[in-house]
Amino acid sequence: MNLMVLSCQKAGQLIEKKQVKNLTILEKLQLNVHLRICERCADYEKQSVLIDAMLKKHPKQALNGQEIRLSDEIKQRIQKELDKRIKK
Amino acid sequence: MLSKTYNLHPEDWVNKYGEKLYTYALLKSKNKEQAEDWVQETFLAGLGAKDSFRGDSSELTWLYSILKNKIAQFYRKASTKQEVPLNGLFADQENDLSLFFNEEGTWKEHSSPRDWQLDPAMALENKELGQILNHCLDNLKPGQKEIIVLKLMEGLGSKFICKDLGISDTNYWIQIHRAKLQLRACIEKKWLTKQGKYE
Repeated sequence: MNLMVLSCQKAGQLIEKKQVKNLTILEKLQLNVHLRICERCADYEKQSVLIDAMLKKHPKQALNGQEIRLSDEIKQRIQKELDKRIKK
Repeated sequence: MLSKTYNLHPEDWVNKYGEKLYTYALLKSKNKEQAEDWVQETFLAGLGAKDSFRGDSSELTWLYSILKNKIAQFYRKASTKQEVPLNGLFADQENDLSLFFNEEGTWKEHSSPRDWQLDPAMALENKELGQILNHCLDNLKPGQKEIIVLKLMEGLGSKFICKDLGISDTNYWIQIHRAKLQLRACIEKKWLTKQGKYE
């Protein structure tokens, strides 16, 4: 089997791996070759990166639109408890 | 006697890390008050355990692991309550991959990605697309949403997440890939339908 031939399924895994940790030199090569000839995987990569960027920008969307801000009231409550013990 | 200090700043914790820990807590409980309590308990426990901080992880990562233990403890004690399952995501693996790929691992024609015809910078500001993303996240299988969200949380790191999900390093991005496949297919269908471009 040609070392340079990567299936689309495997390419997708490497696209995700790349965003978490470094690819090996062989993996990098394989992926680059694949992405140059496979438009669909190139689209997959664009979409995957975009989804992450959207979630980073609006983390609220990740949690059912739940407000993920701690209310000031709760923050003050926790801070007070913490301060009490720090001063001891 | 010189005791080494590892730069913990408990007085700043609430402001710096409160919301991050709260986000993680919300992934593990749908109950807001419960999540708030966990955050408070985490900070107090962290303060109490200050001397055990060895500086081999960041302050935030250290606090995450305290929070994680608190949550595990809670679900152990309350055996009647169910932890939001994070590891229900391994069933049916072959099945859902075969929706997208043929036996050689090549995209199936009808479910391969298409051009969303979006400028990425504009896409970030697009409210409609945001709503679609929201909707599609909620339609994922239990655990799939979490694996996507956890990855993006600052200070968690893949080691922590793999332990949390009980999966190996290799399995981690394979699972992310599976979840993303579902998510992007859902977004694509809804988005292109809205544009009148879905056949």
